[in-house]
Parts: sequence; structure tokens; C-alpha cells
Amino acid sequence: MSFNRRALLTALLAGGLSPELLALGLPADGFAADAPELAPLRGLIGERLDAQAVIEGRLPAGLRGRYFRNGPGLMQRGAQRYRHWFDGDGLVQAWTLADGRASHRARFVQTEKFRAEQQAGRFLLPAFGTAIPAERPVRGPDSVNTANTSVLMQGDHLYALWEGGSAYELDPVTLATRGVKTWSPELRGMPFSAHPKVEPDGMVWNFGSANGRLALYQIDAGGSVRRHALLDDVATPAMLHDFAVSQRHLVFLLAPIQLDMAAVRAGQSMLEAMRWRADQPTRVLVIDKADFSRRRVFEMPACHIFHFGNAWDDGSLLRVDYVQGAPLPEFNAGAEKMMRGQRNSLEASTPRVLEIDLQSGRLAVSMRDEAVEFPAVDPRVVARRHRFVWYPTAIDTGARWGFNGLMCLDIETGARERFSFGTDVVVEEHVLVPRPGSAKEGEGWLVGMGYDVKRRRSFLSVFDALRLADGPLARAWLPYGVPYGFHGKFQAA
Amino acid sequence: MKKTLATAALITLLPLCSQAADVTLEVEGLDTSRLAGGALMVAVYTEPASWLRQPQVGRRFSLEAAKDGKLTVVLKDLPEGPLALSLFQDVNANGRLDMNPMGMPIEPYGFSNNASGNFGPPKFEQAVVTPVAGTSLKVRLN
Repeated sequence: MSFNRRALLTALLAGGLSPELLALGLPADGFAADAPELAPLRGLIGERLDAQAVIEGRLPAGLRGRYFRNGPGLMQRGAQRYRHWFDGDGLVQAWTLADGRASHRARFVQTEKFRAEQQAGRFLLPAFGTAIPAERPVRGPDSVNTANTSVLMQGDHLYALWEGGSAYELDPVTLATRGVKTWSPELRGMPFSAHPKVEPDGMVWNFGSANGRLALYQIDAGGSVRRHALLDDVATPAMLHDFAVSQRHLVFLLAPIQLDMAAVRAGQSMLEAMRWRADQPTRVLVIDKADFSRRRVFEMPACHIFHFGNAWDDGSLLRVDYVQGAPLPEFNAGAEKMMRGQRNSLEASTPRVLEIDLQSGRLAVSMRDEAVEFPAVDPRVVARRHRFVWYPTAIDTGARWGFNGLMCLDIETGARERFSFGTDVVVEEHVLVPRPGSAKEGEGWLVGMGYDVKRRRSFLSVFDALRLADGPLARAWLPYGVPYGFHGKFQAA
Repeated sequence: MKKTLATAALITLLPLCSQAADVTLEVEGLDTSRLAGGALMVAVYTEPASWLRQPQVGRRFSLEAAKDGKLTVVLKDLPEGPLALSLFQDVNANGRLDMNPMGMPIEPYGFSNNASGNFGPPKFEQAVVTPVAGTSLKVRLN
């Protein structure tokens, strides 16, 4: 340790900062003073995290593999802070689980933007929700790609995903950045969304959207592009985050979000320039997987959706489950308050199942009122009939921000099972990990992360996915807190 | 007297006769993973009206001498005075700046003055430079 670093540490420790807070990049600046559950949004400053976790309870012997997560990890450089949660530079985490032990590693994705700004010590490029004047040429989406939203594992290849540009390939063991992924030469620099759907046989479906146009990709388990297409007549919204795949269809809910190009040219961020047109419908775009030119469009009242659980065809009925959120402007205002360390009173996002009668064109939506987000299904039922959806949920959280529990919803019967960690824990996305040797949907573990507000530490939690109410089988505690992530995937060893 | 006149005429005509210059161009930012078989394409414009439409001069250079993503070339016999350059690394040597299906360029490109546009190419006025004898132009491709 150099003298300077030691002197800095001593000074920080004398000021009452623990090494955990140091890892969180938390100087005593009063950030989130009135909302300690938001403290992880202070962000890191580019450092690497490595730790062996302390196990509480017992990790299942059969749970072996790596759990990768991605999310915005750096929020601020010097006095300049991103305004929106979605702006943060991608921090990929890997939990390695084996033999009852858990280790954690986190690395920033070394995007072109991150490397240049890390070197400069300040932001040089516009962010999605923060209008930072460009000090480097912006030659396309990849100039501002933060690779901060999700991950995709394909064979031994790990990708950090954004939604507006290319995937970045990382080394799955070291998390070192290998570089921008080009699926085929003509697809260089194309938007590749952060929500690819992987069918049980490994077939990957994904999309990308830019300037109102929609690109579709079908990539096989070996990473070869089977098909790609550009639909230039579907008028995609200015933000399109996720989609659903059934046995026969690709399903998009196209919210009425327009981009005010004059505002963008005048220097507003992309997000600030988005206009919500409540008077216009959300369009339901259904595309035949076998023939992208066979498309149907239905309409429903304006609504905004970030995430889908799954979709399946049942004769001429197409069923899609998703989470409906607040209209985009309200969501953005809430996300900006969060980034200032303040609570918001955002309308809760809640579960939906949409039933589309492809013959009659009739739509029916069933709604529930639990506050949820980040829906997950068993990877064995993607693009097939499914019964269970798991979500983080908020149970009696009062004015506090964030989820504090988990819910399993049986969409066949409407039955639900829940668990609450109480008021001092923020629960993040959890994913289903099938138990080796099992075949039935839901047989396995629910694995995800959380943050203990009082202890100021992040943890991994493991549940029996069909017995949530029993509480976690195990928690693996880190000696530090980690900025909240968005999405993850588990790869069994 | 006759000789003096001739000399005067020669001096007067000299600028007209030598309306051509050699300009050294230092290019950096070549994609070193895609050098093989490619070329550096340089287009020279002297008029705003023909900017990115009709170059006065077009040149193609081999990338064989490129080192660390850098290549220095000499643009010979360029028109004197202000000019603007657009250049790109023609990775597949098809003579075109290739685009992906969304219409985004997929080969490294750049402009003199390292000009960059806002949602589109830069204007001629942003890229225009007046070469000075003995100094080279530097362009970074992105």
C-alpha cells in the first residue's frame, strides 16, 4: 500500500468510515441521509471487488455454478453525477458457488466510454438520462455504450448487455473485458437488447431498436446467426426494453413514447427528450417466428412495460405475462429522485397476464395489485406454457424505497406464496436455478441478491423456489455493499 | 529589357503554375484487427457545395505500412488553399463506407480537423483546413 493510499485510508477511517463504506465509495457527504436503503446508489468509483462470503445457513450441495449479475455501478465522477439510474456504467458481478462456499467478484466493463472517462477522471460523453456534452466523437450507440443492464451466457461465452448497442464479451472467470461482440460482420454496432430469450435448447432470440426500426435476431446455441431482419415499418417507441417469445411468436408491447429530435439537437438527453403520448395506444406487435413478414398489430390503452415473464401459445390464444409500471415520465422522475438519494412515491408496478385471441383480435388483461418487478420464470419453460413467475415484491414497506420480499405467483390458480425479509432489507432480482436431476417446473432454487440497510452489506440469498415462505435456505454475506444491479443469469457448473 | 519582362512574367505566373501541393496526412485509430486486405480511402473537397457528394480528389492507400493503428501518407498534387477531407478504413476493399442494417457506419472513419457532427456528418466548415507547408494534417478515425 502506498503512503498516499494509507494516509487516505487513515483519514477516512478516522472520519468514521469503515472499509465497507469505502468499498461503496461513500464519503460522508450526506447522500441518502434520509433514505439509507438508497445508499448503494452512491456507486463505486471504478474499483474491483473480490471477497469470500460468510455463509449463514447451508448452501444446497447441488447448487454449483456461477451467478452473474450486471447493473449500473459508477454514478459519479468528481462533482458530476448521473441524473438517472439507467446511466451508471456497467458493473458485472460473479458469484461462484460450490461445496457449500461462495465467493464474489465484481469488475467494471471496460467499455470504450468507461476507459476514456476513467483516464480523464471525468465524464466525456452523453449518458442516456444525463445531457453531458460530448468531448469525444459520438459515432454511434457504441460510443456511449455502458454495458450495464444484463448478461447472457452462451456456452462458455459471457456477454454484458446494454440495449442500445453491442454486447461486450467478458472472460467468465476473471470478468476481464474481451471487447465488443460482433455476431456477424454486417451486424457490427447493431443494437442488441439486454433481454434476449434463451429457449431450453439454447436457441437465442433477441431484438434491437433504433430510430423507430426493429432488428430481430435468431442465434443458435453455438453463437451462429441463423436469421436476422430489419423491420422498418413498425414505428418502435423511443424506448423498447424487453419482449416475450412463445412457441410460435415474438411479442412486443410498443408504448407510445416518441423522441423529440429537436430537444435532442438542443442538447437534452435521450431520456429527457422522450414524450409520453397518453392519448395514443400501446400497440401489441405479434410476429411469426417462422416468417418475420407475418405480423399482427393489436391495440390497448397506453401503458408502459419494462419486463416480461414469458409467453405461450394455447391454440389460437396467445398468453403473455408481464409487469406494468408507471407511465414513463413518472418513472423517470422517480428514478432521478433516487439518484439524489431521495425516496419517491412512484405508483407500484404490478403483475399482468394478457390474453390475445389471434382469431377474433380480442384482448383481455387480468391484473393483480402486488408491488413487483423483475419477473423470472424457470429457464426450462421459456417460450412454452408456464405456471410460475417469481418476483421481488414490496410487503408493508411504508415510505421506504425498494422491494423487501419475494413472491411466487401461480398464474394458473392465482395462488401466491411470499416471504418478507422485513423493513431493513432491499431485495433485488432473483432467478430460478433448476435442481440437477429434476424435471418439473419450479423444482430448484431461487437465487438472487439483497442489501441489508442496517449492516450496510450485500448478500446472496437462496430459497427453495416452491417453498418461499420457509425463508432462505442460506445467505452468503459480503464484507461490503454493492450498488444495486438490474439482471442476472445462473450458469450451472 | 526583354529578359526583365520575361522574368517579371514568370514571377507573376509562378503561383498559377504551382497550384498544387503535397500534403502529409497522419492517420491514427485504424482498427488493427481488420487491417489485412483493406485500404485507406481519402476524399478531398474544396467546395462546400460538393462536400461529401463529389470529391475533387479521391485517393486509395495500402495499409501495409500501418503500425500501431497509425499510417502516414502523402496526398500529392492537391489543390492549394482550404480543403476538407473525409476518410475511412475500407476494411473489405469494396470502395464503400459500409453500413449496418440500421444505417450506422461499420468501418472506422474520420474528417479533417477531427470534425464530428451532431446526429450526422460534420459540416464542410467544421472540417475545412488550410494546409501549411512543412506541417502535416492529423486525423483520428473512430
